[in-house]
Amino acid sequence: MSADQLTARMHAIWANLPGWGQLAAVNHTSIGKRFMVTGAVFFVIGGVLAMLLRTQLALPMQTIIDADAYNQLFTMHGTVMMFLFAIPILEGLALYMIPKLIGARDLVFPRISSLGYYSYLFGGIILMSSLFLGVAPDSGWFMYTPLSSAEFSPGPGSDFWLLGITFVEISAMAAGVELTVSILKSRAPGMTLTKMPIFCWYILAMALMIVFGFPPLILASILLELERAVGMPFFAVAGGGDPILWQHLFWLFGHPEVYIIFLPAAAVISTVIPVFAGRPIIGYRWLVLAIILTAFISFGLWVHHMFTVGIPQLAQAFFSIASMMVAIPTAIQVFVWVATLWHGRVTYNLPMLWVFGFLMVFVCGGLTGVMLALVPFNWQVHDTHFVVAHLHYVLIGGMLYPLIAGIYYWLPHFSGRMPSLRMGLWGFWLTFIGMNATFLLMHLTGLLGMPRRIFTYSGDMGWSWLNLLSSVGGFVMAFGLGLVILDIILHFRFGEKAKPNPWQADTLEWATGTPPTPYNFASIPDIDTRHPLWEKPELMTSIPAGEHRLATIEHGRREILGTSAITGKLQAIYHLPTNSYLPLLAALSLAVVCIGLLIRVYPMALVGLLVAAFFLFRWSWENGSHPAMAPPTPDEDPSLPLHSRTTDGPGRWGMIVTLMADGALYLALIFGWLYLWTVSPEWQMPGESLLSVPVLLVSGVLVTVATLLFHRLTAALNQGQAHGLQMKLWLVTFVGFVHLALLITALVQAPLAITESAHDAVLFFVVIYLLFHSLLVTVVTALQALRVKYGYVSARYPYEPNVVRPLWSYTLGIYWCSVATFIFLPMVWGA
Amino acid sequence: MTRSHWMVHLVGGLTLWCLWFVLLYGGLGIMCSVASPPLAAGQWTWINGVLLILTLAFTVLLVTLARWCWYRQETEPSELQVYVRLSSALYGMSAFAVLAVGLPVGVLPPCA
Repeated sequence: MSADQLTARMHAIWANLPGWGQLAAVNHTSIGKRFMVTGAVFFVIGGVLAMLLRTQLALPMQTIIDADAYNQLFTMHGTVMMFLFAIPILEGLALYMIPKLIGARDLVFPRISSLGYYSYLFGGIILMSSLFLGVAPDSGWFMYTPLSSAEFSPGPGSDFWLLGITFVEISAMAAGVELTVSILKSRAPGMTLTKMPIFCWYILAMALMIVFGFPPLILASILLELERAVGMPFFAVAGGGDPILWQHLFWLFGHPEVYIIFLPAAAVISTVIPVFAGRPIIGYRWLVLAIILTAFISFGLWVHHMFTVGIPQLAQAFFSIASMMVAIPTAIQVFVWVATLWHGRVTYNLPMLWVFGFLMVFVCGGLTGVMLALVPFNWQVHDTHFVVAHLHYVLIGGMLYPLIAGIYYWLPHFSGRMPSLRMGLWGFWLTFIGMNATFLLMHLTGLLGMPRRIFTYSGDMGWSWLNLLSSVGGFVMAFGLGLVILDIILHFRFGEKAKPNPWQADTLEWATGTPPTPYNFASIPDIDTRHPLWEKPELMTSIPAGEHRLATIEHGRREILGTSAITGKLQAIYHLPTNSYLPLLAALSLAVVCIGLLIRVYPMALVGLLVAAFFLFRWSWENGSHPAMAPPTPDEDPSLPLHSRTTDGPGRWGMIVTLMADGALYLALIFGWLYLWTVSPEWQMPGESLLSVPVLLVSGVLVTVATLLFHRLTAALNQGQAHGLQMKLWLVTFVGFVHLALLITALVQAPLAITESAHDAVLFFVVIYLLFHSLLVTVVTALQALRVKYGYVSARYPYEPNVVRPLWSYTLGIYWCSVATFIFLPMVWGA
Repeated sequence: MTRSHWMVHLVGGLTLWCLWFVLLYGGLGIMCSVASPPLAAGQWTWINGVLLILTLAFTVLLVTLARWCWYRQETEPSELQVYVRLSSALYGMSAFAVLAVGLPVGVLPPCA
């Protein structure tokens, strides 16, 4: 097959559907771009809100915006910028870049990428609609209880936030799982972990941080919504709850989130600097060390947001020192970047301008962060504009500047055209000057005592001139960012045509074409260097010519290579799903659930849930050797099998990573239980278990039996023994359903007062959590039995039961852990 | 030792740090709610003693693991040495983090 024929055939297999069919696109290039464009739209909206805030604060005693509207505006500004702009746009960049950097044609779960995008889009629209309806949340972007509870926020504003953000978080979790598995399992052959571009290390850390960091907030949002909608008193002191629990759960997510945003931004910096310095980065291993350190230590800082709530001094000291320690890996990175610049021959260009802006602004923001880690200083400036100034220095310097540097760097890759240098320079300098005018002065406003979140102030406080200058600076910055956006929009039409690899970069994405083809690589090369395009420039032509692996496409499947997580050794071919409307339909159904819960029409939410479940199960049905996925073909090579013909593959890894996230949520739940038990003054622990212990024990024995049976049948299947497989799967299903029935019986018989006691409410929530998992794994097992009947699971296709197996193990683990923690521990402790 | 084992070591030190941190902070909360010592006792309390022993135990463990990794460099194949060195450094950094964050145990009263 000639190169032209190969290209045409690849296009036919990998391209999106035309017209409205674009809605069915699952390709990572399309999904990544959609995330970024949608994030940019939300950025403009969040920026307009910021300008309204600065207009109101420009002069004292203004009445342009009243207090209620101001509360809504600052809440939505923070929420939009953090949840609808910063995280999604960086996720989009990562989704777009990762396959291109690791030599893959797509991510391993394309439909999950698509579901993530639509969840983000619909969740964002639902949240934004509250602003236009005049009922936006107004309790601040971190929604502290009891201010956000039903008593003090009786309108639907808090519900919009809780439901909308939880919906949006589906996209973050999807990206976390997707990116982790893709980086670990689909790199080009020979690309060991230490040969991986440094960008991928950053994104791997970010993805794993999402996996562990987001679940506490998801849990907190569900609990608060249950409190508001049903009256379960998780955060109400009178019922045995505690409002400080919300703060713990929120910041357990919230502080790692700062690094979830910073790490991908630092990834851009670590990619751009070596290219423009014309040399490899100095201290690759130091960077890896710093990334791992940051990812872990950032989980031990959350209480520095809560120094004023009355935590013992000793505990504050722990978090104070941990907060200062995180500066060490950050400093390692700064020194690596400076050293690389020092030893390189730096080419100054638009991306580098933003890199230098980043270095200056972010270091200043980091230093004020160290100041805030000191408890006495923190007490003095808590809730003042000093904190607002600090966080904007960190977030604008540490995220926005690198993002724009990255956008300018990869602009020729996105569009095949170059940006305008003149407009870009104006954009940078106006943004840089405006940003510093706004926020440098805001440090002083804070030190002079101006609290955050006040809608106006008296003229005799001495804050007037500072606020006026901050507002002027804000508008200058807005004008600068407007120019940057205009430059980016105009370059698609007027930009000079880009040469191939216009910056002479070292990484593989520049070999995918400018703009890239939908399949990235017509053939996939072996990679044994961190700088493939510097050391093997011929890859630019040999890849599209089909001179490397996987250059056959007659079978009509979308395929990528599956490699081992550490060595990059070739293991299998992963076949991927093609364009599908199922993610869109599932996300639409979930949007109906969200709206149903919002307007408290619960039958509507239930119908939406059932429809969503139908689409998701239909999605799971079109897998493996199903005719819509990878039916048997005569050209299959047994020495390099399709993953659905093996016992390992991306689905199994995806299941394990998803269960890690699930486990993080479960651990947060246990933390909440122990916290309330220890701290809440009105917590009531009954003398004996409210759930029937004998029933729980029998139910536990049954889930144990089901898990063991399932493990046994998968072990036999992996050895090629499929005798009686369908019957065995039905048997496991039956045992699973009996276990479920007993668990439901225990719940129904228990005299739980879930609206009066936090203890009972937590217990009820735990049982529902267990029921959900037991129901899910049982239904999935029943589907496996059906798939045996259709021939999709057999000795030749043993893959899917191996995907389900960890779910059974997890269900068993949480069951007995829950019985021990929520039933036996109180009995033993009480005795 | 295989690459997979070294990957465990790569995150092992900081996982131990996390475990220690949970025990330190959670243990402090629980011990203070169960038997809070008088404020006048200052830092010389049984709670500080328990936390100090915990801190020193984890420090010794992490330093030992760092040393162990360091001396494994010679015996591992060259392509694994990067993981060995990184693991050793991360154990060392984790030991430092335990000691640094745990230092206030010797200075401040536990429940004030």
